[in-house]
Amino acid sequence: MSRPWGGGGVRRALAAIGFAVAVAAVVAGCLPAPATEQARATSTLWTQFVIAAAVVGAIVWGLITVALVRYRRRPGDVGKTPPQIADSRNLEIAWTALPILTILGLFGLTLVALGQVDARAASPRVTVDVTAFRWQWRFDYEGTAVSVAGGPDQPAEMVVPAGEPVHIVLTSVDVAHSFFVPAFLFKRDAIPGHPNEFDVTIDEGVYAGQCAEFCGVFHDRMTLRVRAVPRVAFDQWLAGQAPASSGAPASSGAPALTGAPAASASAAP
Amino acid sequence: MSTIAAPVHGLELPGLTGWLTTTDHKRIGILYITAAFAFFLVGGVLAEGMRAELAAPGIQLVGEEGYDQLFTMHGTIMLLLFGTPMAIGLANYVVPLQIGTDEMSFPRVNALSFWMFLTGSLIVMSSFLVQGGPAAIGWTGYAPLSDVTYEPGIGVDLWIVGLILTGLSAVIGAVNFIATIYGRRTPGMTMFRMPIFTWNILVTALLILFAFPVLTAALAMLFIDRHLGGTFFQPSLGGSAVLWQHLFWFFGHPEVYILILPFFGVITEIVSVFSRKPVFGYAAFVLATIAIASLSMSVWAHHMFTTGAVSNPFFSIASFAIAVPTGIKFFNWIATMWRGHLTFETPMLWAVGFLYLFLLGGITGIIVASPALDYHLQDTYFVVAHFHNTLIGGSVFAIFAGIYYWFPKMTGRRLSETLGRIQFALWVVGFTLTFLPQYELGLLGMPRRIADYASATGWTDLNVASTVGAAILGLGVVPFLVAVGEALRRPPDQGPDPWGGATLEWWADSPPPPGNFRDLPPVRSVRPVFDARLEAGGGAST
Repeated sequence: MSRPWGGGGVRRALAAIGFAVAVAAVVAGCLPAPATEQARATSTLWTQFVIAAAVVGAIVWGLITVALVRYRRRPGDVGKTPPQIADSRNLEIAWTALPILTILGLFGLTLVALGQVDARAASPRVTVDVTAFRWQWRFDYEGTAVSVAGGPDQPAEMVVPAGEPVHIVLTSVDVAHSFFVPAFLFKRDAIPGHPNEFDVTIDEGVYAGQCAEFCGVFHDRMTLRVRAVPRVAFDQWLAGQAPASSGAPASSGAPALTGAPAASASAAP
Repeated sequence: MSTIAAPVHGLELPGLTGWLTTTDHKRIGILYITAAFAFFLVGGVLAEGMRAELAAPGIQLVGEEGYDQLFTMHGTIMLLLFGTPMAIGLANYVVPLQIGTDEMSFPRVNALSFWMFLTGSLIVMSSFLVQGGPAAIGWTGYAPLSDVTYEPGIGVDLWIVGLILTGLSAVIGAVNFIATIYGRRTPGMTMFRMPIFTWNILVTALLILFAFPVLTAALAMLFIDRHLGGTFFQPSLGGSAVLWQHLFWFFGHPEVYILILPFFGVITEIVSVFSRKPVFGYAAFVLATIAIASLSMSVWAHHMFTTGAVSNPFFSIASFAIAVPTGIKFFNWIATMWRGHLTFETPMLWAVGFLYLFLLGGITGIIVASPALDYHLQDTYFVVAHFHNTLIGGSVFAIFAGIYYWFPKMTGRRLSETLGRIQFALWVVGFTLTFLPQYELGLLGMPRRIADYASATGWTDLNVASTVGAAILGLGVVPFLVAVGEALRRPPDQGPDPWGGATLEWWADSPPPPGNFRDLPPVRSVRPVFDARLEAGGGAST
């Protein structure tokens, strides 16, 4: 019986894997351009995972395809019984070991990236208390009276200094929300009764974000913007903000903030 | 050949009364499959509504609240009223036949399971008729959004009560399967001669027994919070919103394996039969299934990487670990085909589709199991694409494989090959066009569960493609329904074994009479029917 895939099998396999890596390079480009120091670590990890995925895919899809093409029943096979092979200990060991090694490698890469993404800055100079509520955001700048809150059809904008770590404290006053800015390749949930904190170092620019945890009927309108500006411009912006109308920023644990509050007096233009 | 006396099944009544009072595992199996498929059609219509709304920016069709109700009911129906009962239905029909027995251990409990499932399901569905409509909390029902403060409607209560009933039904069904598989195997059928499908149902039943009571408890707690002054999930009153997520996913993650392990079994049977070879690595398949089930109990918090409330590295490596037994299964499926004589009748066609598509779902599953990547991908369309990839490219493709495979056994008629091929082609194209764009939408940052997006996001084209794909999937159901209708109008013409099967269900008549078997071949291996055919000089091929 002729074996259409007989000769040059190794060369074909290498070509398939090369093609897979090329596809991986294209797929890896589908991610938004990373806009934070942390996002660059995530972006690198993504590329590594896509290459690993492409190699695994090339091998397994390749083997499936070879089996389907090479071992389809031919007219001469009808009435015959193929060899009734049912196991091979060596093969079982091999294809148990291969996935184990693969996932250990991927886990190691994950730990490296996770260390960078979850790292805490030594002494961030800016802390923003982000409070999620149905269906907008409030940004309180710690150590100041500045408070920026969004309202219906008026998404809140968080102004932060670019290129230095910003400390974020995330809470919710009602249901679970999630603070998500795609260009940061990052989100963190805002859960009532469970404050979350993280640090992020943002490149200069304006970035769109929105709530990523379903929080009720106007979930889709819970958008926000982050504007990272040079330090000098940030200091000027902060100084130019009138104090919040109610004096001190509202406590993040306040339970009664619901409905659709108007944008606060100091809302950014 | 030993002969067993068929037991008396005098209680089976004719006509509709017979169906309503039946305790026959085959009829109950068909009831389960039919009801589950009806819910599949309903859930599919809801999905088409969601895709229509998302085809263009703006609110055009169902409104924001309507959209939220659609995705809540779509998820609930597809996972709990379609996927789980479809697995139970196939198992009901096939397992007693595969182990060479005439009935489940507790036939009347079996009937109770079905009617309890149907009652619970109809209670969930009845929320479409009440004021305020169905729940709009997602199938995950996250607290405190699901509390009466935010969702006062009776739709949520009907959702809770209905799901408690379907959950209890699954649990008593699982007990019945475990008792049947342990206690009613025919002489010679040792545990390690059971067909892989039966093995997977045994493991799935154990998983149901561990997982569903947790859902039932969580739902009861939610009901107490809503109406009896409880504070389990109310952070402002000393409760914990994160607790709900733990309880829900402690059920929810095993649930996704409840929705795939039975269908891994279906694929294993079909790949072996249509390759005309024994299952390669039988013991490896069994151990891999047990490993997946065990690991699935300790990965629940990979749904919670972004909560900042769990150990991300632990739940990451535990989730990665599931790739090992799953990889073993893939290699063994390939080895089963290797050097075989493959033919591609409709059951095998769907199985091949499963192999190609499920692999992508597995690979993207590894990607979202990495917390650093999940920080970006969680709650985006990437995750939506990933789990539809496993549940449609995986479970639903395997369900159709199983239906095309066992339909001749159930009815004595084969489904049209032509219509089956048309359906398969439409589903491969429709699936690809629906979900590949969703992967990219997720990478770009489109969150799930939003009824609207701004045109400035640039997400429109990919959403249009996805909606067209969903329409093709919907269209693809038509040839299947036509094929079933057409087959049932023909007189039965199939013998016991239309495919050259190897396991005991292919020994019984098609369809098997009450009591199932007139006689049984000796069981000396995993493939008693193959052995008998060989002894009769028939060879492996048909």
